[in-house]
Amino acid sequence: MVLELKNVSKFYGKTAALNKVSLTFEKGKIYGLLGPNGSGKSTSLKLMTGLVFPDEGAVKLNGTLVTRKTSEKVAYLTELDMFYDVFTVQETIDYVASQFADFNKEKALQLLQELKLDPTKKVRSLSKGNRGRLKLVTTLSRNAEAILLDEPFSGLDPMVRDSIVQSLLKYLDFDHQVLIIATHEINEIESLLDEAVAIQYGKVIGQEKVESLREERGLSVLQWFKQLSSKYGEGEI
Amino acid sequence: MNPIKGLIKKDFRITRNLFFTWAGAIILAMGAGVGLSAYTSQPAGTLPVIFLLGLVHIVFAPIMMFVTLNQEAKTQLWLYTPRRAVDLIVSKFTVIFSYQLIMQLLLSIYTAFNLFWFGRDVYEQIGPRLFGEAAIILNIALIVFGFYFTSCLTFLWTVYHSLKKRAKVLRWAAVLLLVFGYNLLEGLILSYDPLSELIFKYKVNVISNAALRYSEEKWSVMLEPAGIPVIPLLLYGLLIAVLLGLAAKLLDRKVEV
Repeated sequence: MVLELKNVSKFYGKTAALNKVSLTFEKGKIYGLLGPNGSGKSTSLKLMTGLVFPDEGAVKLNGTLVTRKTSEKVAYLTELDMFYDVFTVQETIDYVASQFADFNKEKALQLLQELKLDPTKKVRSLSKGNRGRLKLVTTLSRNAEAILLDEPFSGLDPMVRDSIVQSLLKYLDFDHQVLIIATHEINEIESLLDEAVAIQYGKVIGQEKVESLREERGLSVLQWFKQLSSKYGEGEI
Repeated sequence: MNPIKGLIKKDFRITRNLFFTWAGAIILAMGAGVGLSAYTSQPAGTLPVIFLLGLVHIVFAPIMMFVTLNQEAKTQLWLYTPRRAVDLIVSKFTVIFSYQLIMQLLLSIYTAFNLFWFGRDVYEQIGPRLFGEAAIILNIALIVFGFYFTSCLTFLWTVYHSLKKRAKVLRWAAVLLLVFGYNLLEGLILSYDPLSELIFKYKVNVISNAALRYSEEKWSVMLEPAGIPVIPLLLYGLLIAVLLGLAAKLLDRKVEV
């Protein structure tokens, strides 16, 4: 499984959210898409899911152009709220299960128990932390080829963040899946990453294997990102 | 669960409260109509209520569609699905259509109640068969018009959202241009007499005109037959399909999240 962005540009008005970006993601790896707010991380994920379309270049999954239909093979967790408030937790799971053939209900039940979510609770009565957990349940329960997480830790307390990291490691099938996490909270995911991609002002400013960063250059991902950031501009992380 | 069933169930759930509120208000209006007419001893007072509720149900479907589309627009994750856009739209139409049928059935029962029981002394009497025929044709016309406006709204909504990258004023300008442009075209077609005559040539006669008459301190209701043109109904049916097809294309290829 290969997910590719080839020379992709995406404009909002005159502003380039992404400018001639080329990236390749392969199965069996965890990638961190790192950058400050507004750097183009979310746009990259939406392009890979088929929720937005490139103005230039091409986005491909296994050599086929990404369209809306691609969501069949790509599980996407948005930074925004993604639920219908009138649903209960169970109804939310049933609905997502009805839409995606790769949804594994058993996995969802396990995740619900592990993340201590009450299936009978209304979504509207869930705390922000529990909504974050539910987003994770609906995303990780899919046996999709690509799992894309957009700011999965946004607004969550350290306990919840820790449980999310544990779930990621436990429920992913690295033989068949690729995980791409877009975040500006580098410390939270540093231990998970195989590769880090730094984005700033819509451009890829660096891509490194995390292991070689640590072993060969003695740098943490955050230190590496800060070096790049000061070299290419003053974007704050 | 089948994906289409899942979509329909979701659309029922997210619109259920709005529908119950609407139905509650309509039942209240019906009750008030009968109550006030009984209180003033003028049973014909229910006729304006029937008229008003009939008119209100031309805009019922577009209002429901507008509310539910805007609910989805909050995140537009509605579009994060392998289903075709036409399935997403048809699911909403199915739900709204079933609500519309329930409301029209309620209105038909209310009309029959007033015609044959509550207002039997003041409503000009027609047989149940004639009433049945008129009710069927008027209900079909109401549904066609309701859904014509709903498909217009859905199409314009997708046009507006497919221009997300443009300034708001330009998006509105595009929508208004389409509305005025279409009305101009329709006006031009109807101003061409031979075409206009053809369009309105075939009519089905039903009791669709009702008038109030006042004599001897009592209001009564006169029912008159009127012709409903058939071709415009068919043309509107065709337009519904075309507009929905265009809306689905825009949703699939242009609307971004």
